[in-house]
Parts: sequence; structure tokens; C-alpha cells
Amino acid sequence: MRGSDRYVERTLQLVAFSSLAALVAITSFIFKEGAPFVFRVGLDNFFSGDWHPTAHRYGIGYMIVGSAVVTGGALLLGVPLGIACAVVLGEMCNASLRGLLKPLVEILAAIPSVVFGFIGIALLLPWIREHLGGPGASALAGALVLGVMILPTIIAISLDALRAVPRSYRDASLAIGATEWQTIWRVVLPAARSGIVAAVILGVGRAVGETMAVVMVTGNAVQLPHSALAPLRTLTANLALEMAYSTGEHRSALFATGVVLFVVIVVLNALAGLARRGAGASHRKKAPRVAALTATHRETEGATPR
Amino acid sequence: MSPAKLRFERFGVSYGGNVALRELTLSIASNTIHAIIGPARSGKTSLLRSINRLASDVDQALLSGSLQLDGEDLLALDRTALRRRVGMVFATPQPLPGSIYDNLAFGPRRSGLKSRRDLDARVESGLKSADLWEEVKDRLRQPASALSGGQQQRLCIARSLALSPEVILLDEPCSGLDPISTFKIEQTLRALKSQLTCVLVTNNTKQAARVSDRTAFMLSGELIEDAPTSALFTTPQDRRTADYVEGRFG
Amino acid sequence: MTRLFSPRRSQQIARVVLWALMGLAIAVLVAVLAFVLERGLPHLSWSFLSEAPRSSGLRGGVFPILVGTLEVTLLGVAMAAPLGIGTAVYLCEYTREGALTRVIRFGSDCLAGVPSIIFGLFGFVLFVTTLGMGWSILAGSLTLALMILPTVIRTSEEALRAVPAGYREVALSLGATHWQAIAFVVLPAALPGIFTGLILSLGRAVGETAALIFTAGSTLPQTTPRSIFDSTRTLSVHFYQLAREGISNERAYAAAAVLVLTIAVINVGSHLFLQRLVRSHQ
Repeated sequence: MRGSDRYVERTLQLVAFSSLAALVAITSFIFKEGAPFVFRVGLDNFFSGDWHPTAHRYGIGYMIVGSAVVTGGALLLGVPLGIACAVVLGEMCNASLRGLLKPLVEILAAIPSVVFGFIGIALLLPWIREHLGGPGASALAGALVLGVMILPTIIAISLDALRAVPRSYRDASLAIGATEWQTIWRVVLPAARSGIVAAVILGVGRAVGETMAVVMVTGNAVQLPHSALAPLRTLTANLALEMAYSTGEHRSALFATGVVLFVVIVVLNALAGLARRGAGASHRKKAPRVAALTATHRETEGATPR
Repeated sequence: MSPAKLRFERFGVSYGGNVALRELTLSIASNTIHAIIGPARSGKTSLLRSINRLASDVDQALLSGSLQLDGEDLLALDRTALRRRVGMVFATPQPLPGSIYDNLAFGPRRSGLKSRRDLDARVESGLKSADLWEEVKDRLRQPASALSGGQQQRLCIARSLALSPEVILLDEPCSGLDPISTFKIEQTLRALKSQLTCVLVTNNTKQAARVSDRTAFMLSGELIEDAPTSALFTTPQDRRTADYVEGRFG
Repeated sequence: MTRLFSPRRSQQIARVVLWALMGLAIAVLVAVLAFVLERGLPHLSWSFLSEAPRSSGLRGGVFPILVGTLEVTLLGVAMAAPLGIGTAVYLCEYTREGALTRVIRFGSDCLAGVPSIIFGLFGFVLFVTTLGMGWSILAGSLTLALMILPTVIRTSEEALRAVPAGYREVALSLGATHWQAIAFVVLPAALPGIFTGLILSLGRAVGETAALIFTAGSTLPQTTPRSIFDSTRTLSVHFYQLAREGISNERAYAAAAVLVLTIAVINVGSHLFLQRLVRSHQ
């Protein structure tokens, strides 16, 4: 019995490293295919705006800009909306309502990106074309679609962060006469800050990595988007569009695009991990915050005549 | 007095530097009920959980000194084999998922018993020893979680007895039970004494006085006094023992 | 500090604004679902589900595509399950939190953040070209398996942690070895939760496109796949081609409806299953 038990443990230990092994394999394969290319053409060429595979010019600068623009736009929509939803779900509604709304958010997370892209094509692009002008497929369309798509990520992780705030903080704040909103704004949100930061960072990761929906609604023209209504191409779209027919150094250039994407994502995940760990550590010494609130609350109480 | 079933010598338990039990020397005789009393954090549960080595496997405790079972070094025994000889009943009744039968047969099955007839016999004898057979014999296939709290705890006793252990460890087995269930369990324990040795950790000094042959009083990880139960309760040698059994602290 | 509104007023305003934003998010979701179903359901018919596609999907149905989708996703989940559950068991039952678990969790978290297109790229280089599998169900499901691995690990871990600690102690105290306690008590108790996690992963796999275009292939199958070395187009990929190339809006709507319905059934079903389970445990 003892012997077979040890055998099982060894096997499980080996299995437990499978995800790490997969990560290492993905990293090494992507880098092996893409990194040498970056050094061959030189960093300045590679990050230039000149993408003409037929003329052997491979600059991905405009796509980096494209990814940054749609991601930034998506954050403008997704962050306030996502945090608002998390606050409502976590702080302002009763259990039965939460039981109804949370599964809805989970379904939102499960809708495939191609469906979002398709709705973009069918509804959003014609609407933009008619009411705002331009070709329809645009930075704006990408930002709107992505803004909705990152909502579940931001909501879920912010909600975890709000849940992790000890109940005693709220009780202490309410007990000294703060309103529900003052409690949320001055106690709960500050206490959950690092977790919410992590949520936003992971939302950025989700937006940068999203592919199919973006391909379908941004027009994919390799150019600097001069307005919100101009089409653009993201890093992920570049991969999805050209991978199928690429060969030789063109393919290497696409893998190099993948390397850039991969590095960005890993850095974002590491940052989110740090933020979340910060959240865990800071909850142990959070008590002073309530004292600080007491002080500000007394001030304002005196200042506002009833 | 009969020979020692369990013998602790300069025995200690610590958890990552925190000492829970120090320099304990104690003998527990065969076929007796030995009660261990004391306030919270006195080390009595650590003592109990060391005997079947759960302290080592679950709580990551470090044991020192010597502990013998029938004169053998207990700490050197294979732990699964040891736990078939030394059963345990926990403070909260914890039926495993599944039927009453599955609960009773769990231990025997893990020890490799397969034949249906042998398993049936173990289940029946376990339930009979715990005085539960008459109440459940017609619903052995029903979920164990459907039993009442007192029945569940007797099921847990029966489940240990199905392995025919030599020693049974009871960790405050009646703490959550009503007086009638408690009475039944105490009755069961008295009847079991002819077959095995009971080590009973309890917060309830009256229970110790009612059922045990010998009682040990512990405080802050040390053994204060160990004496025949009647002596310990009527003429305690140590002031702290007297204070505790008379309810002046703890 | 000067303030614009009294605490009571700001409380009212905040409530209105926050609930309005929540309502907006829910409205978007409902609109998405309603739009797809409203346009798609009228074009959905038995022949669409049971016939092979003709004229690049302009006519006919999606039957071989459904079969291919089922094979790729089920195979993917089947391959991820032992790895994910094994990892979770190791993390929850065999180790204390420490450097080792941190490293394993870091790997799993990073893998969870890797975009699906990168998985597609990787699957293409390793499985399709280097290992010579070509565009195939096997290459696609291997890629999917890696992609859903973190989800399987996380949900299995949650299920294992929900098993009462007492079960483990009872099993050990009855002479079970560590592994017997896990195999005969802990895993059976955690199984429903683990199963729910697998179903949710299946939902994610069904909706996946970017990781499959370059691994399972995108050519339109005329017949159901004969082996796992055959290429197949999954429903999401098919839908993408129909919608993007504007082949047939009707068929695209119908395919979208099938996709959304499948995923809704998977999610709602697993949710209800879990709820019933929680109730039966109490």
C-alpha cells in the first residue's frame, strides 16, 4: 500500500507540472520561430509602420498602435461599467437578485467572440456608417465590442476583491453614521483597490488578446488611425488574417508579432499577480483605514448642516 | 492492575515550534476506560491524535519521546496498520457520503476485505457492539446522513468497531449531543470495556466521573495528575486538579 | 473639503447611476441574445441540422460540422480532464502552500491569460507541422486541451476545497492510505463540482475559433470525419467564415443561433445542476 501510494504521489506531482510545461513549450516555440527574425531585421525596422510582406518589409508599429487604441477605448467603456456592476452585485443588492444577475454575467462571459463580432457586423457597423460616417469598420467599433467583452473579466475579479473586504469595515463605517455610498466610496473601494487594479489589468490582457471579434469589426487596414472612425489593424488580427497563407520570412514575421503579443500578455499577468498579492497582504493591516474614515466623516458631518 | 496497553514516556508534541504537550509520562491499562480531562489548549486532543498519528499526517505535528503499544514502539508502526488497531471517534459526528452499510464497510474494504459474507458480518458486529443494530438493520442501504445526531455518533463508533480495534480514541464524543444520546453512548462504552481499551477525551468532568476507571488531568500541555477516577475526584493531590474538578476554572 | 451634495443626496445619485450602469450591461447582454435568436431561429430547421453543407455553406446544413465540433471539443476536454484534475489533487491534497505551489499556480495563471490566437499559433507549429498531424481533429483537440487546462485546474481545486476536512480525517482514521482517502472519499465527494467545471470548459471549447482555425482546419467538410486525423471545421469557425465572407446571412444567423443555444444550455444546465447539488448536500 505504502509503495503504491508513493507511486501515485510521484505521478500526480509530474501531472501538476503539465500547465507549467505547456507554458514553457508555448514560450519556447513562439520565441524560436519569431525572435531570431526580430534581430535579423533589426528592432527599428520591426517596430516601424512599414508592413508590406510582398516587398519584404515587416514593420508592426501601426498594429501595436492599433491594439493600444482599441484596448484604451475598450477600457473607457469597460472599466466604469464593470466596476459599477461589481459594486451593485457585491454591495447593493440582496442575495436573490444577485443569484439572478450573476449567472447572466457568466453567460455574457460564455458568448463566443465570433458572435460578438457578427453582431458588430450586422448592427454596429451599419449604425456607425449611417449616423457617424466613415466606413463603419473602425477603432470605435472595435472599442465598443471589446468594452463589452472585457466586462465579465472585470466584474468577476472586482467582485472577488470586494468580497475579500472584511465585513467589520462596513459595519464600523455604518455604525458611525456613514451612508451606504460613503461606506462604499471611502472604505470598501479603497480597501479593495489592489484587487480592482488586478481586474483592470486582466481586462487589458483580455482586450489585447482578443482576435476574432476584432478582425470582424475593425476593418484591418494597416494604417495609423487618425480618428475614431478610421479602420485599423491589431496585432492579433494580423496573425489571424495572414497566418493561413504565409510562408518563409513572412511566417517568421507573424511569429515575431506573436512574440510581441506574448511578452505583453505575460507582463500584464505578472503585474496583475503582483497587484493581487498586494491585495492579500494589505488586508491584514487595514484597520487604520476605518480610523481615517472616522476622521473625514467627522469633518464632513460638521460641515454639512442638516 | 493489568499490563499497560499504551505507555507514554517523556512524550512531547509541537507544531512548528509551538509546544502543545511536554514531558508526559503516562500508562493506559488494557480493558479500561481512561478519561483525559482539562481545559481548552491543555494538550489533551494533541495527545489523542498522536496515538493514531493523525497529528503527524494532518496537523504536521512533531512528536518526541517514546510511545509504546503493547510494548512495541508505536511511532515505528506502519500508520495504516496502526489505525486499524487504534480506532477514533471525532467530536462532531462525520458520516461519510453513502449508505449506513458503506460507512460500516469502509474500513474493512480498505483493508482488502472483499467477500460479501465477511463484510456483512463486520457491518453487523460493528452495529451490534455500538448498540445500533436494532435501530438500523432494516435500512442499511439508506444514506447515513439521514440518521439523527446521536445515531450518527453511534454510527461513527460502530464504524471504528467494524475493524475490531484494540484501542478506541474518543475526542469529546458527546459534546454536541442531548443527555439521552450521551447516556446511550456511555452505556456502549462500559459494555465495550471487556473487548478493548478506551481513551476518552472530554470537557465534561461529570462524564469522566461516570464512566472512566482512571482519569488524567492536564493543564497547559502538562500532565498534572493521573489517578483512579474515584480518587482523583474525591481526594485530588494537586490544588489545580481540585480547582478544576470543583468547577473553579476552565 | 467642499462638497456638492449632502451625503443623503450623493447616496441617492450614486444608487441611481450604479443601477443604471448595471441595467445597461444587462440590456446589452439581453440584446445580444435576443438579436441572435430572433434572426436565427426562423432559419433553423431539422434539415439545417441534419444535412451536409453544399456550395460552400450557401445551401444545405451543418451536420458534419456538428459532428466535428463534438469530436474536437469532447476529445479536448477528455485530454484536459486527467491533467487538470491531477494537478488540482496534487495542489490541494499533497502539498502545503509554498514555493512549489506558487510556481505551479503561476504557470496555470499565465496559461489562463495567453490569448487563444497564441494557442493557435503554437498548436500550428507543434502539432500540425512539427509533429506532422496536419490540420486534424487531433491537433485541434490537443490545442484546446492546453487552452482549457487552467479552467479545469481552478474549478477542480474549488470542488476539492469544498469537501469537508473531516472526511479526510475519518478516512485516514479508518486505516485508509492517503491515496485511498482521496480516491474513495474526497474525489467522489468533489466529483459533481469537478464535472460542472468540465462542462463549463466544454462550453468555452465550443465557442473557440482562433485556436482552431490553424489547428483543426477551416476547409468545409463534405462528410462526417472518419478518424481523428481528418480535418474538420467547427461550428464557430464555420459561422465565422459565413459571416465574414458574407456567404449567406440566413445560414450565419442560423449557425449563430445553434452556437448560442448550445452554450446557453451548457451554462444554464451546469448552473442548475450545481444548485440542485448544493441543495441536496444540505
